[in-house]
Amino acid sequence: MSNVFLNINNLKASVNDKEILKGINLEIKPGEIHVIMGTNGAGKSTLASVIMGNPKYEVTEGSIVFNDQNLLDMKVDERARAGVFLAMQYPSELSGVSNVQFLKSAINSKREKDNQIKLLDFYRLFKEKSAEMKISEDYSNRYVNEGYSGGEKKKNEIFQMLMLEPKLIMLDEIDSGLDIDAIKTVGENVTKYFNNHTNDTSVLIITHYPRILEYVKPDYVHVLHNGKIIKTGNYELALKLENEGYDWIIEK
Amino acid sequence: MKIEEIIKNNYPNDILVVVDKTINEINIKHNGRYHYIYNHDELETKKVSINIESNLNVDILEYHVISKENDEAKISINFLISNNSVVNYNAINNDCLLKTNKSLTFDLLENSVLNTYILELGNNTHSQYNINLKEPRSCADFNLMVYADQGIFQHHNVNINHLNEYTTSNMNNHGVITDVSNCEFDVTSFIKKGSIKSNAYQTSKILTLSDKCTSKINPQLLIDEHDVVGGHAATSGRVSEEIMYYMQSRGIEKNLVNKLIAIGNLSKNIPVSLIETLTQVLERRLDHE
Repeated sequence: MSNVFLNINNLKASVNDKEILKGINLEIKPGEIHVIMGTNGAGKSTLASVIMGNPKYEVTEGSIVFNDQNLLDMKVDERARAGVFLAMQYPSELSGVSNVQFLKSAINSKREKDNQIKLLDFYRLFKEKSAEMKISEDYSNRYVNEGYSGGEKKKNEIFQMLMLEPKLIMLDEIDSGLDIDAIKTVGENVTKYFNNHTNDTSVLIITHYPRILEYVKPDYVHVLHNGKIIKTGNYELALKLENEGYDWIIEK
Repeated sequence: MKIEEIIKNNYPNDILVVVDKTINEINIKHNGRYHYIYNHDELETKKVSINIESNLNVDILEYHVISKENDEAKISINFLISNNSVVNYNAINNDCLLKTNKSLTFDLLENSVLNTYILELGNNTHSQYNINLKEPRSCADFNLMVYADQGIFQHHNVNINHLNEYTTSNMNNHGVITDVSNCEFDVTSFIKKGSIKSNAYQTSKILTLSDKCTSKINPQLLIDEHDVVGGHAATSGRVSEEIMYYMQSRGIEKNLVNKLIAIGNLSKNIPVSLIETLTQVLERRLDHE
């Protein structure tokens, strides 16, 4: 494995012939936490979606290499099985599909056919992780995200992350819709997971506000504007953006 | 093992009846769970009346079997549910040899309740369901789950007639089709003039898993009274791109996404006792796909 975990080079992508990403360059090493901040429409969520492989977006130029694999040659499910995880801003509701069915299928998809997770092991893991996320016991038989509040959906995304144990964790505005306690639960669980897997895990957080960063301390903060990264700094940059906004960077 | 033996082993205290040509009328006088097995090896049309007396709480489980590929089996069953009785009617047809043409009529008297869960997972089927809410405060919850593949057609006509005041109906028709199969739901909720304070809801949904299968939903609400509430929804189509993307983003490949959504569509809210049969049949047949 090279020292660079995720390497994005001159990435350009569009939706409905409108170019959103206009040449993104980004390197993330194992054990690093990066944050993307920016104004509405800057392309932050598009970047995460393109890395995940959302078919809505067309990559017109550039490359994304993750863990020595060319992600652009891989389907969405192949990327996920390779360790890419996106906690989505608007998770889908899966009517009729229970959390247990869904997660068991997802876990087994990453395993060989002769090494499928045993039912008892699955429930043990499910119980442990749902307790960590402070999710109620009736959750196992509920349908995925159906009838959940916005906050419950976000917590469910992190619960899925804990169950699936990915290597590249992307959090797309995970803090929106969460109350203060829930942000703390989410932030602490992401940090705990990251600290336990720091040798082969990286995090990419997309956010408008630095609240979540109080719990998940970043190594780098990037400002995305008009489809390009225009500034990179550290946690101090995120705090400055909260106090002063984006105008001072954009006007430069 | 024959289905009779399975039922006897699993439910030793239940009442089991094999409905042969000598049986035309059945009267249910006691609470309990009743299993009716219809053997369609004989081709003649089977007509049966089932009368449920007043103030009972009854579970009826219906099975259809055939031992050889045959012409279309015809069956007509009339249920009379008397005052204050509750009937939970579950019918399972998962025999791929059996082509059926059936007509079921349920007449509900005052304050009676009908809950139906019908699984049609077998061969070509034409069915006609008439549910008549004949007397005040009668109530029907009708659930039909259909699966079709390999050239099979499933045509279902469901009519719920509100013929008196304070009657309530909730109709759910769910289909999953693939291959070159076809599914049609022709569904009507009718509220007769004078049936005040009645509620009628219907939802029909067909999930298509291939480009070759065809589906049609014809939903109707015929309301001849002002003081009522009614609503309907009908959708037909494939697994949405958003759902496909979301599930794939957790590592699940496309075929398994379709399978999970198909089973989810049909198993949602059905009794636990039917889920195992439904899941087993669908997993086997969707794997074949």
